[in-house]
Amino acid sequence: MPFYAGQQGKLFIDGSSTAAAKVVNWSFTSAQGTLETTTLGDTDRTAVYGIRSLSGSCRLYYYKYTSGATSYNDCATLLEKVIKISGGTAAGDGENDASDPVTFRLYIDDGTSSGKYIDIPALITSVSMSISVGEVLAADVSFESNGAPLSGTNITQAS
Amino acid sequence: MAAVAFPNLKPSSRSYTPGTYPQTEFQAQNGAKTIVRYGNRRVDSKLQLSFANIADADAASILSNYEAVNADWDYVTFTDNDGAAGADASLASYLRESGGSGLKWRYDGPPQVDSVYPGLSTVSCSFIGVLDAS
Repeated sequence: MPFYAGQQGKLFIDGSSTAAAKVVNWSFTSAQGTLETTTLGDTDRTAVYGIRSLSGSCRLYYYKYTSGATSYNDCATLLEKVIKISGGTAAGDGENDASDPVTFRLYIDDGTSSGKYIDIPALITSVSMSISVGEVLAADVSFESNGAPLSGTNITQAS
Repeated sequence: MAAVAFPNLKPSSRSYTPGTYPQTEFQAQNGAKTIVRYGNRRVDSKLQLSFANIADADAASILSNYEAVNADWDYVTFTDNDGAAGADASLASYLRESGGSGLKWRYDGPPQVDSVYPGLSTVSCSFIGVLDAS
């Protein structure tokens, strides 16, 4: 299969063997910083590689489903990573649970048993939701990678 | 007192001031000034060099040069391949203090080394032109 489209895309959360439900899209960007090494007398800018960074986003419908006797909502799972509820009922509760990291597998079904994927140890940086007439409720999730993609990532391999 | 060549590193930035002439000013209450000039040579010229994102080995060579110059009362010399890089000949003679000023470059304090990335450092050096008594 030489080309891939949306129907080949999947998202896995925290090592689950089941793909997250109702994922609209996912994306990632790897940025490579540079450090300038231009010196006096040079006519052209020179540089060397600096720090790399990896960030991404995904959009999931806020979709509730059941498997056997258990209810699931993968969008809510991600919301729960960074939205921590106060233990009390009064305003001003500033001490609550810290946010949780998450591991994303951004996956492409290439027809093989393993597929192509990148495993990102992520810190969610923002979650936004809005509801309006004529639209399905969804959450836009942005994240940054905490370090390099995890070993096992094969999206950079040609074969 | 001997010359010690600066490492063969071109700076990423440079700042130079030629120094001042030694003198004292006296100002009378009516505003009149009397200036007593003590010499006809400028002194205390300043040179600041910055080396951005250089290899740690190159940063170490600058520190080694600092130690070598100060192990005895020696002075630093520059060439067009290091401290005077990128300057034309007329300005380079001032940057190197080789135009008959009699000034000798010495370190005006220790170099500052900032580690910016594994294996890379940014080094800042300050030099002062000293007119040694003969």
